[in-house]
Amino acid sequence: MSRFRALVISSLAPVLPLLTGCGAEAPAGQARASIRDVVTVASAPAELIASLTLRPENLQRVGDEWSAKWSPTDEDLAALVTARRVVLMGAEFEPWAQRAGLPPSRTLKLSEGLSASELISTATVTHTHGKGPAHNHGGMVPTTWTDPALLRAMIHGAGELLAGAIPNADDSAAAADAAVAKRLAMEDQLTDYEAALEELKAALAGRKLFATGHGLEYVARAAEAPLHVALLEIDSNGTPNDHAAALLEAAATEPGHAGVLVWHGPIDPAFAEIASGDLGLTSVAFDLGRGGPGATVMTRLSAGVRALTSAVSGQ
Amino acid sequence: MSGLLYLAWRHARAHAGRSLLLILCIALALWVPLTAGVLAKRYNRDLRTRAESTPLLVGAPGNRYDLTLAALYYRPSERIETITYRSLENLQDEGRAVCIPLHQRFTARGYPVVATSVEYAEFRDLRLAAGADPLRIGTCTLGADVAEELDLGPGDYLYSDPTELYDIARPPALKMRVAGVYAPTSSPDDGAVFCDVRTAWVLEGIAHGHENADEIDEELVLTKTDDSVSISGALIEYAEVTEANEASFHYHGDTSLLPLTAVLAVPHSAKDATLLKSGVNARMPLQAVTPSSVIDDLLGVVFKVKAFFDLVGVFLIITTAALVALVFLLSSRLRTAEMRTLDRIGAPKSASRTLIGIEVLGTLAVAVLISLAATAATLRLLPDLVASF
Repeated sequence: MSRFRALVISSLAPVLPLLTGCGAEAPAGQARASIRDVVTVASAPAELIASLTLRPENLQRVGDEWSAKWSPTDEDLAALVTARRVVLMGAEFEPWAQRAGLPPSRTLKLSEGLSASELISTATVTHTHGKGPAHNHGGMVPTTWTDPALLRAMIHGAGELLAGAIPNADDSAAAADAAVAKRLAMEDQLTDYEAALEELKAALAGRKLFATGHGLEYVARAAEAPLHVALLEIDSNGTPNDHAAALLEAAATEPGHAGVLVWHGPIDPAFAEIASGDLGLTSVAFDLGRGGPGATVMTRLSAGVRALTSAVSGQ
Repeated sequence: MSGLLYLAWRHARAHAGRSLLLILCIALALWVPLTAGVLAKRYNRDLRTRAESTPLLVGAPGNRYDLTLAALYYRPSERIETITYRSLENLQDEGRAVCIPLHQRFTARGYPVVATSVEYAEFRDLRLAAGADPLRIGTCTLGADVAEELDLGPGDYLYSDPTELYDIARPPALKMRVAGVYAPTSSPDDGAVFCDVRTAWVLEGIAHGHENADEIDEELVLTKTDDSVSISGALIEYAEVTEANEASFHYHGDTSLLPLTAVLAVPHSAKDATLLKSGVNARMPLQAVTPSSVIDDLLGVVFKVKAFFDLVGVFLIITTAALVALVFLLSSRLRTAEMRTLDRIGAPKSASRTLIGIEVLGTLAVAVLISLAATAATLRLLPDLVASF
């Protein structure tokens, strides 16, 4: 009988779990990284805006480049996708975001709350290839933070979008006081920036500005000055854009310009000499708040506008 | 009692052919309905589990079964219409759910390419066995079965299947770099290739990388003006995203118009689910479906058919039981002399009935064991029907 019982038990042993569907196993593999109580930004302007709503310990900055060619490393991407929120400027300021698997539900684009009519588009080359329709690679001027009205709107929008983003965030009276103090300081800087733009507007008196790249459009609009962008592309691949240079030369011969050529990157000495000698244009560096004197993006931006005003006044 | 057991055993051995035939007949009669029942139960449970774990699906108006089966089980369907990425943004803006994009129109080496976002892996709790999630355009992460069957791992490459083999204007197959492998989940996820939704747009040909339009070989430029350049169709777009060319990949036009096949919505509460679903169905040119309801409807039809087969199974068992009873009845008649001998040597009056009872029970017990073993073997050998739905 014991053999018979053993036979029955051994027969049923492999069968019963299959028939009953029992025996669920714990999931295999490495547990997923949990979402961290931080908001991640990848640019100084986004950091500036997000910092007004968040405490420093809840704000993480990845990357230290302003360049459109910046690409996140694998570590940067891991930091971005595990954050409660990823704050982008939008308006094509972060082209890398088109190629990165950011989580849509946790990604905020500050420019999306802005009125489309307030954004400035760039003129670009339309082209076709294959059987596809004609298209262009152009888009928006991404330097939205250089427009005071847009910046105020983005600060307001970020305040709404990031409210409650961090669970159990410090909501004490001291934290509220610190947030108010940050807002007031920002308002002071914005007022000073607007004053700097008014000074530029007075100095320009409607005269045209020249720039070697996109980015100055919002400053020019605030100063009510026309802007001619000559994409000289001196540094991009070693082949300067002669066509753009010719257009700049033609525009410089016409009256009504401020006699200033604004460079967003380093000034090319050779071309600056030609611009100065042949075209009568003074080269001025203006890096949109990236560097220069000042502790914050806004103070550097104001200083940059004042330097531009000085250059314009000197003409 | 042990003596009767011994006699029953010796009788079965003496008539091995008859006993074996009886056992097989009974086992077969039990195996068919038992296997069908267990399979149906397992199939039902697996289907419902996946459907119930998926709160809401939003897609283009049309066949809700296609939408649900494609989104849940990656069942390919040419009939699925696409919706725009703006739909996802609009749903997201309502603030009632986490909205996860899904794009499933392509395959790679025959396996479905599920283009989504990292939230999908989080939602399904897809854990990494090796490598990383597909966080870059042109990369993919493999389900466990795909990795095993193709013998691929992180750092290897997987080509997508070309959609139009002989149409050179269509995007070529994309050489995707394998970023990682997910651990087994015993679900359709094991048989899929996951990538970011942006990679699907490369496969669609909407996003692509090529040389700068201003820097292309003059021989490929058909016409050029100040603000326009027409380039020959001979321009080769990159068929692989590398570190060197990644920055050249771009979309054209409004990114909010890029296609998705569905949006998986994970509402924050039951109230949000109700409001979101009713809002979508009432106000938007989309349809929102609750997968569990769709699967219930589908299984309702399937189980009506199953009820018929259950009835057939019952008739089969009754018929077999009647035939077995007849066999034992006739057998007992043939064994009259044997039973009389038992009586003459002083066995109890009930001994003959007990002996036949032992033989019947023994035959039934062995048949039941065989049918259970056969059912278990069948379940083990059959492919996972839900995974291969």
